[in-house]
Amino acid sequence: MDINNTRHDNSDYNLLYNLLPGFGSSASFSSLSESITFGDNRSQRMLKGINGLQMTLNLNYNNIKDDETNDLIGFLQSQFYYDPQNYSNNGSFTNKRIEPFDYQPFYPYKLNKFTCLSYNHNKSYYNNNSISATFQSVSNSILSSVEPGVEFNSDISSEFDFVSPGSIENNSTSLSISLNDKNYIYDPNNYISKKVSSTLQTINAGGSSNISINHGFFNESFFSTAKTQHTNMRNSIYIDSPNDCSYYPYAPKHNNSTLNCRMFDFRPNNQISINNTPKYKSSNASDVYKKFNKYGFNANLSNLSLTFDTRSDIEAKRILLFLESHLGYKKFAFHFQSDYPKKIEPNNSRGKTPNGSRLAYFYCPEWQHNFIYKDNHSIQATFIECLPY
Amino acid sequence: MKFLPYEDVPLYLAVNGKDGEYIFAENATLSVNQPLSISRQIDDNILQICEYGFGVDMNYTATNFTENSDFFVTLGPTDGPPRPLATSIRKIEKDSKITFPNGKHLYFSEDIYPDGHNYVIPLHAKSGNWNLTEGEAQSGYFEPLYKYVSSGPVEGKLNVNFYPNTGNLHNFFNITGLSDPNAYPPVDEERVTGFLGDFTFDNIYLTSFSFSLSPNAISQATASFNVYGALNHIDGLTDNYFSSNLYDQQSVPHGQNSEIIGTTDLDMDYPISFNYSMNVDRAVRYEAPNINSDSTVGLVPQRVSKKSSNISLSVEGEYINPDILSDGFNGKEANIKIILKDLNYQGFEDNSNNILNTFTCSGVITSQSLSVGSNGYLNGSINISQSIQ
Repeated sequence: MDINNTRHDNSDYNLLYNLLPGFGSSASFSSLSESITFGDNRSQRMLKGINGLQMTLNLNYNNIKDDETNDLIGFLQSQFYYDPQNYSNNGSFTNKRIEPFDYQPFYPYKLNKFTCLSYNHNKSYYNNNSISATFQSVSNSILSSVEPGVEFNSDISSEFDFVSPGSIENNSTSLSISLNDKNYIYDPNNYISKKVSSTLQTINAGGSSNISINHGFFNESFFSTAKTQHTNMRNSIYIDSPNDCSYYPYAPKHNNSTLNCRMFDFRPNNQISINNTPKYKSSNASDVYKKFNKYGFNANLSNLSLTFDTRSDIEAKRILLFLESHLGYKKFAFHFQSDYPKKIEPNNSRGKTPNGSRLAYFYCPEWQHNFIYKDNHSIQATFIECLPY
Repeated sequence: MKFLPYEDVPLYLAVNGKDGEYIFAENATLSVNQPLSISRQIDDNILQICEYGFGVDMNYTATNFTENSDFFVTLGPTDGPPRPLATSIRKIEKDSKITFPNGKHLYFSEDIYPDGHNYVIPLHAKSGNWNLTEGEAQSGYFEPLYKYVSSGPVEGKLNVNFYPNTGNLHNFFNITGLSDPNAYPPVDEERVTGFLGDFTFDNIYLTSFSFSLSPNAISQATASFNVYGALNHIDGLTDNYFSSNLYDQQSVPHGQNSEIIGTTDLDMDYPISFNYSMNVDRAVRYEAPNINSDSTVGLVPQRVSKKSSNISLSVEGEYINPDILSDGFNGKEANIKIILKDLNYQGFEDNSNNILNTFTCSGVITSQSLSVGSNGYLNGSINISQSIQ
């Protein structure tokens, strides 16, 4: 039963642009991966193909008028309208596919292809309607994610010199640097950061430009050289303008060495629940008497459900881009909280696991972003602990 | 700073885009509020010193402090990698104390506004010849100023008691009124704008209107509006309002000549007072902005719709038919008409309107009562309710 819409051509996807969803809408991400777990509970993960990171939008359109409802429901129903069959020469029907449509989701996501397979229309009063719809992203490729890994990658990251205070020179041979007033640059030898305080600067490969840097409480001197992930090659699968996001661009320093993965430097809420389910094996020789054995050398690996509430637009974007760039299966390091985890003492291995250190490693197979209100976002993420090797 | 007397704080209301009126108000109260959530993150009040310096290597070496010395520390767990200050902190004030175990204290030497990149911060030691052990350096406690985040829009109330001093009730006081007579559906959802003194508002919507009348008494009406969006102050906005028609001679409704028609059907020959009220439920729709939205999206409502609207009328008189409820299974019908008049003095030629307005309530009786006391007569009262729109 199709809705009566006389105002518009139902198949016009511009109808979706004129009606924005309300606060409380959410975006969920999940990876489709295969995993191998070894005897020491080390796991190896692999995405199922290049479309292995899925995005699902749950959109709420509350308190909308009848004609707006007719537009939206009409458009969603039109995806399933019957068309006269057109039998082609190769023996197939040409009009059976549900064609994906372009849709611009809420901040910070970019326009993408979606399909809507589920929606609900609730009429609460005369000329008052609510629609909830689930939009599923279609065939987005993880190859669209172009984000530097832990080490400098000259193919997608750039290096520049400060030739004089307020002037930088792009050393790259092919990449353009794209810095704006939200960005930070880092000293290559330490953790001093400085904020770019000028408006958008695009510095072509081999070129130079003036740039203003906010020194904070550091002295006036500039770094001699620096690397940056803010280049024209950077790209995200789902997030708009990834160059708004700055991270420490070098390999994280740890115990006189560097890590082989990036650090997740965002802190979850201060109210957390840590659920422990150590791995074990039980005997099944008898239904009455069971023996339990520790399973694997690293039985205490954690599975955390973390919430990142009250995040600003830019911090939410940084978290979402970080998680997306790890594609749901790549590991990253994370300082959980100050009393976890405990460091292994060389001469006292009792009660520890062989991988024990003050640093824990995780991968994040799924996360959900809720748009609470303007400049207020909430992100729930599942962090599964893995071994560093 | 000065106190503004009643006569210097006029109330002006207008339907959006149309000419408005100064309101002959007895009193007016305008209030707005905003729901806020405090932002708190794990260990956001714990300071962990990873290294003295800018984060060149990650070896913690206990360093003897010098009296009244400033120095930089890199934050994070021992061995690193460094971790920045929590973004739930709005500000750490200069000279804020950091308390370490065993009675040891350091101080922040600058104001700090964390932005997610504060791996290195400046501290100050007031006394010298002491140091922090590795364990102590991981356990600094401090009290920052935390961020608060809007969890919902700015909303409020405008309550006004006023004299309905013209023959026509302005449609911004009339729940069933239409600002555009040709509107379809004929349900007016236009916003009301105006100002109270020099404070302007752009998005207010009527939620209730009521008045009462009794013999030999002036009638005063009460209206309540929902207020959305921010208030703005415009200096000198009302400097010239003294030349407005608010200072013309006014006529006000009075009980002496006003009529209540229809009470005889209820066996009430002499009504002594009544109260008339209109209420409307409103639903608010805010849109979640996307990357193309302008900055006001999400701050002010995209739509404030009308839902259930009701008129209620209560009349008190000398008697009332006691059989009403027994006769009126499923609602005894009642039709009451109120003709609101002023005193209509002869010779009062400037503003003598006689009939000011007519109100009707055609609904059902929801309750009735009879009461008598040793010092009075038998009194009856009925309450009538009508659902509209």
